[in-house]
Amino acid sequence: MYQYRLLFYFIIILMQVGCKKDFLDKQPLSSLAPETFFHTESDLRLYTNSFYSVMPTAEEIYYESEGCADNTAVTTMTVAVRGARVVPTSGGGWTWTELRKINFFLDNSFRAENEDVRKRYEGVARFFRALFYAKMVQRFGDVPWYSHALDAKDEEGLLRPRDSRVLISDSIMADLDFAVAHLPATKSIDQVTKWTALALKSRFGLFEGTFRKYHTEFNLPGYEKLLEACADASKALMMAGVYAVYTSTPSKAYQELFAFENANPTEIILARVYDASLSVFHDVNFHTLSASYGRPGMTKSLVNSYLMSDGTRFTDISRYDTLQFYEETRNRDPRLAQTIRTPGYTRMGETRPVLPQLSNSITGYQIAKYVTEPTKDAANRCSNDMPVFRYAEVLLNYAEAKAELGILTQEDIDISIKLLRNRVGMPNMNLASANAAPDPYVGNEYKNANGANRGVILEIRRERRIELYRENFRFNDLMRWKEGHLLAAPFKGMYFPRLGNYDLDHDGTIDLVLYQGTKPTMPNPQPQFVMYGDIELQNGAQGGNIITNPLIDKKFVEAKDYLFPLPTQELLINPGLKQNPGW
Amino acid sequence: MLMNQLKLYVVQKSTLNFYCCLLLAILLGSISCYGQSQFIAGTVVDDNGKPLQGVSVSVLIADSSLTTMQTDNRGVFRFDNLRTGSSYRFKFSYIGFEDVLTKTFAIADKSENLLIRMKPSQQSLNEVVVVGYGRQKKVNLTGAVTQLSGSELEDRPVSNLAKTLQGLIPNLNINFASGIPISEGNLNIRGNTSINGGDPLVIVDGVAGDMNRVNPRDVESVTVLKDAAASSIYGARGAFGVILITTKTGKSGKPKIAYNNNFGWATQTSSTDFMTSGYEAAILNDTANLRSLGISYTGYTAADYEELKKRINDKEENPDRPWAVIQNRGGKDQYVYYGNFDWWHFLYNQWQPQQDHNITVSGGNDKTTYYLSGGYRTQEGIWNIRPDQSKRYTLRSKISSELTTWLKVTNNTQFFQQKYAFSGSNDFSWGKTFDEHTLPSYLPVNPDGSFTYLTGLNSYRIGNGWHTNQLYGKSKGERDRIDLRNIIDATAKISKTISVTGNFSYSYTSRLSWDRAVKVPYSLYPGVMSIVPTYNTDELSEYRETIDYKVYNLYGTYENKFGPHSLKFMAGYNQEEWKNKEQMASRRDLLSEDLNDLNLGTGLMEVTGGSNEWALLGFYSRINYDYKGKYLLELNGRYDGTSRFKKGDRFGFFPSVSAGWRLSEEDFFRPLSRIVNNLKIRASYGSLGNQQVGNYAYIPIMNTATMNYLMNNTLTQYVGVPPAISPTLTWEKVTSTNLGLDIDMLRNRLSVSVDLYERKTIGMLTKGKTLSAVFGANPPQENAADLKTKGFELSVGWRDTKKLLGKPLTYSARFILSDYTGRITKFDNPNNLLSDYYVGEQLGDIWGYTIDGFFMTAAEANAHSVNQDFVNKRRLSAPGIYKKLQPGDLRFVDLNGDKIINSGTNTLDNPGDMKVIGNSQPRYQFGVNMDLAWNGFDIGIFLQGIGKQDWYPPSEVTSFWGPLAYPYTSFLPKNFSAMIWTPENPDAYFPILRSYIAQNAELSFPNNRYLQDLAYVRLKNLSVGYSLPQSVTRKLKLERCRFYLSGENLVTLTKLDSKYIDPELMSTTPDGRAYPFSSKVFSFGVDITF
Repeated sequence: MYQYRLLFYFIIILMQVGCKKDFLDKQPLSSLAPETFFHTESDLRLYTNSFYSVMPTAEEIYYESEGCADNTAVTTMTVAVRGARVVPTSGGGWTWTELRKINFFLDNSFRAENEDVRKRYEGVARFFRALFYAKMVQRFGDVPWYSHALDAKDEEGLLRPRDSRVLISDSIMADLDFAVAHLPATKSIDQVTKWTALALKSRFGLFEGTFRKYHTEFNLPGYEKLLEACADASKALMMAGVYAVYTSTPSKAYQELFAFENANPTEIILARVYDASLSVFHDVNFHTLSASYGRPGMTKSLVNSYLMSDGTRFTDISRYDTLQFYEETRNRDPRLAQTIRTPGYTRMGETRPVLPQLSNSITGYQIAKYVTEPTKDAANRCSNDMPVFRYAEVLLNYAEAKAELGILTQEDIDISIKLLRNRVGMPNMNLASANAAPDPYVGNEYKNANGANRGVILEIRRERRIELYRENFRFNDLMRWKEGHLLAAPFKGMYFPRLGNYDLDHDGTIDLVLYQGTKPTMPNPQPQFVMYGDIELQNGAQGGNIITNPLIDKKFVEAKDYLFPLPTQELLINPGLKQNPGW
Repeated sequence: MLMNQLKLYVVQKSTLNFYCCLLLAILLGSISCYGQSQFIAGTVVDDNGKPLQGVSVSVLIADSSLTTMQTDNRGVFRFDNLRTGSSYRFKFSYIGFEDVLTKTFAIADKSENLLIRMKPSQQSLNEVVVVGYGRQKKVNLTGAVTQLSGSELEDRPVSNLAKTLQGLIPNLNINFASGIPISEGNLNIRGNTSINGGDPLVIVDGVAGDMNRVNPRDVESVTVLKDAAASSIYGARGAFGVILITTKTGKSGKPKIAYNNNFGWATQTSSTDFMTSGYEAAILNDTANLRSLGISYTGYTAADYEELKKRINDKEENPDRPWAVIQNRGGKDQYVYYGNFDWWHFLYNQWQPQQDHNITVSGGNDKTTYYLSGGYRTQEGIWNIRPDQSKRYTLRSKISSELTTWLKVTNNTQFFQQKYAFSGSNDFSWGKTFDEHTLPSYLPVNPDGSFTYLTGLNSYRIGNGWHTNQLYGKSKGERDRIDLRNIIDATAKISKTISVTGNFSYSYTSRLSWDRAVKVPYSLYPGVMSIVPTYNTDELSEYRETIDYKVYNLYGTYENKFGPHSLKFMAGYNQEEWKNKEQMASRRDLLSEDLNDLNLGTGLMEVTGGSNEWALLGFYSRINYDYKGKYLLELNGRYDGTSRFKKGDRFGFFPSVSAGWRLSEEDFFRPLSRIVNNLKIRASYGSLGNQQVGNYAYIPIMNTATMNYLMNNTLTQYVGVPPAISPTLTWEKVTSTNLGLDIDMLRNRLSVSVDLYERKTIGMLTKGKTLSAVFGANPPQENAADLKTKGFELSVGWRDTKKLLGKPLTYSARFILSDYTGRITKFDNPNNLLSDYYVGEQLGDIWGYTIDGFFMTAAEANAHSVNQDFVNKRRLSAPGIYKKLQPGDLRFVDLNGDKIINSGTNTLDNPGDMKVIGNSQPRYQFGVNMDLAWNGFDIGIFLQGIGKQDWYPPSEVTSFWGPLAYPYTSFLPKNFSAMIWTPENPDAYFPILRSYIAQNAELSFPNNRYLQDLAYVRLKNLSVGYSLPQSVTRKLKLERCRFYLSGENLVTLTKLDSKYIDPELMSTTPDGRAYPFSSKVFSFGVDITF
């Protein structure tokens, strides 16, 4: 019949259209699969690029979070600084996604055809693994070590107990040695090189060496080996002659270094790069100059630490603690005037001097480091590059490691700290006189420093605190030195003998009015008005130093606060994990 | 007396084309004449000869009704004074029986007596229901199926089909996550599907489609297939039910033109009468923040508060006390704001107009029919400054032709276009942005006409700059979508018993959206303009997606009767391919603020792409068998394959079986058949698959992306780590069991349908058990969890005709009720962590604490021996005395007596002081539909609601928590101050004011005191219409003309403790972070048929 024939043809046609072979095989059209990847250099580069997401952002560098410790007071202190940490249910830094990323690469890099290329990018991966574990050790102490990406069915791997930090440190050092051996020696401001690996080795060696030395409660062996590794790595970098301390006019060089649009390749080993033309901005001006983000201000204890410009101690001056802003900022280590606003400070690109604003700085010592031209003051308009690894740190690490090992010589100081002092025109540090008369003021802060080198160790710590201000070192430094009690001390600001009118820069006009009750009227130009109550002074309305966060009790528990707690959910899932002591 | 025999014929009622025509000539009894008296009388009886009372009898002259009466208790009627020589017809109608229309006959010079025998209506028995790949008589259905006719969806001033269906079909659960004019409904059938979600499959005219693309006016019927038996013919996609939408088809006859429109105004269902006192709002926010953080939020000084106080009663700005003044602060002149500004009504439109126009032309001859329709709809959104607007155009052309006696070809084209244009930024998440930092003391515009943004007294941004962006008006965007679909369908009648249907459908979708951002200026210092930092980029970005979707179907049906046995067999093949392609391009720094084209860009450009595809094919078959229409059996099966699983796991076979027994057809049932016209019990069981997983779920995909880390002065491109993939990923299996009962009673006036079901979802794809964090990735998806859902549906309907003031009054009412609960029956969570699913968990359970009131005195608070620190986190870092428990703080009950309030180990075995305090799933969803028509008037009432649903307000619901959540809440309830605990107000609802405690402290932990019940009943729709009588329409040369008024969501009754919150919205979007609902709509319209 006609119909049947037609139907038959119709079905045949439909089958032709429809039943293609592998009709149901649909592979991804716009993404890749591992089997076909990891073969070429470009594959390896593209994958290892993903590791750079852990590099600190500008905010993590200047904002510092708990890193600001007792250096910078802010309106809202982090829980770690306040001593209000609680055991989290999950998270809390116990995050391992970055490690999986890295180990997945190391598990698959064998597919690469070229041996040299493979080793180079394995070097990148192992650098980042060392960086990952260094952070974990700093935060949690003992952690489990994994050298391969875990399989979901690998019960044994998933339920491993923690490995000793001694083992972890050895593994970190091994990774870094591999990275040093295989990473390129060509300088790069934004990619890791042999020099970045050495800088990390120097940084971690010092951390772990001093941590073991001072935290005797953990009975950790072999601090000397780590300090030696730090000194050696630092020395290797110093001897290679690829980096130097940036110098120009002593009264400007330090400030310039952090305001450069493009990181200075002489001193900066690795930077976080920002670029206005790509609209990749950070927020340091707005953060530092507005009331929006915690009103950061340098603390009085740090201001006190800056030496006089002749190398003598400010705190040796009698009644140094009742000197007012104008007097206390005169003739100091030039870095002070390049780090905070002091009388005569002008914004970049301007000539009109500006004074610190108490409304934007909780201590009155308003920060100038990193701050650039006023055209970038709106939120998120800054694009000056931020230092992640800087040669100056390596020099400081070197001197400190040697001092802690008890083998520091004046020559060591001359090839390290002297360079930093020279930049700003400060006299050199003298080993003998430092040890002969340890500074009682700084010595009172670092109670645990001891031994024959105590004096010079105090001086190196002073130097480090000043030089590396606002680069996110301070919290870890206090932890490794076992000086957590400094967090619990009250943070103070400027000294005002009484309420009333102040001429901060001694130019004959009133700049600041501290008042109580009704706001006084003043002739133009209008000064800053600060109502007592918006700030608190040590002796109430009778004057004294500004007390920041007067209502907040801070504490630091020696028995537990040097390490962070593990999340409870993890302890439950893996009974092999034990909580850190005291938590 | 002369006896004349007259033959009267029941006139065949015009029915749908698929109706079997019942041509039953009824020979009626003798008609007598009574000499000169010229009356006509008669008796009406049923098919058993019993008289029928209350039958409506009309006398018609030339088809128009002259007069109407009803039969008496003996079934007798009588019309007197009929004019001799005129031609009359008589029409008999009675609910539950088929209408009888007599032949026209002239009244001779004598009276006549008629005997009318009425036959029970076959309508409900003959009703045909659309099922997968075919149609079936409703009485023969064995699965759980509900059908609704398109006429039930008319007169609703709503934007799409999903909205009209909400609440009409039991256990077809529809909700909307947002009130944006282009919002689309979330569909669900029978509750919990899978923990991965699972939507019902929507089939439009035989091809998988989208309900939102169909003009509600084009809908002929909507059928919902709920159980496995009904939906397993759709195999891998029918696991969670199927919705079949059939569009209208032309009917042969002269061209019929119909036009209808609707003009409406939409407004909010919840109160918008917020606090507008600048002083009161500032003091609430500041007090809260001082107690939590020790700092003022607004930064207003005591002097500023004095100024605010002076203006406290100024509803309008008083020139003596301006709301914005220039003051020197910190050495600079700046604006300081002291307003009592009503931000809500400034930002949002109170009455949002909408209109709808539809025109259809249909008709045809006995070979060819056509149906053409066009629709246009426009609706404004809630933005007031520059209203957003959606426009929708729909077109449908359906032409069907019988080419030969055995071949019929239909072409069905659907066009849909939607444009949504808005001003401002593209953040449709309607985040916190909208309800923070717009305190009534702040103003949107400075005295010099510049826009506000910063207050200068604190670091926060007024309204986050949203109003600034809106006022400037240069940032804008559009969301456009075009769907074009064509279905060619050919049905060949090979023989009397066999027919074959093949169809091919091609759909093309184009989505285009663009967003333009410009730099937005504001002013804080008089005369100084600055750029809003969050709107400081000048950029145009365009996104385009195209989708190709092809569907092939071929199926054949064999149908035959062998004595008492009826057999129907259907088998077919289905194949589908879907592929999309995406492009995004953006360009910075355009040469114009008003023109929006990538060509104008001068700055940074960015381009990304993407593409996905899937395919599936399946073989399906169905066998229907019945014996004498009493015993019904149906078998379904489908063998399905999908591209979404790897070879070897790709295919699945999904069978189902269902059976029915029509007790009412049994002999033993006869005594009851006077009351019960139809009684059927049904049962079904079936297994289905769920393939609703990612397109490439089994492949470890490595994606490329860029990040903000700059390398070599460009954004770094990288390839990311692939997700962890389980090697054994396959179908989720869904088995479903259904028991059903259908009864039609009392002359089919009462119909009841009940279904009980259990649905097991087995091997749900889930992350498996929570792995230790050292795994470093989300645990791979595995078929590792099972879920069981139980529920029921009930539908009770009544329809009847009565007489009121001599005119027939028809009315009907329908009540539907449904419910379900779901329980996890398998999940790899050995420690029974509450943060994960655990075996035995009832879905939706809310774990929380118990509160037994406030501390009334400081002594009481100090003496409290239970440590509440865990739930009072915020208090611990509060300044001064607020660090300690205060009078007015909440007292938590130490359920486990360990003197400390906490969550224990947050496990089932040790939940600390928590217990299950409620359940967040909606229970007892119901709807009531009532219609009434009389003398041209019609009234429709539709109520909808839920019986119970617990909801713990998340911190984001600022209209509930106010400054207890955030100290910068903008829209505070007017009576908020009175709800806060103070020593003078010890019976307050809320505790002592502290900011952030609903965000991360005591009020953020669910507890019994603030748990809300969202139960509501809502007058969803009320419509009143009037149709012009035929005497008038005829003069106007119209066939039909009806005017109506309609109102949506006019009244809501709820147990919720806040009039500022819409319970229906919260039931869908618990944090309320959605484009507000403006679902109260008043509208009117006209329906004209030429």
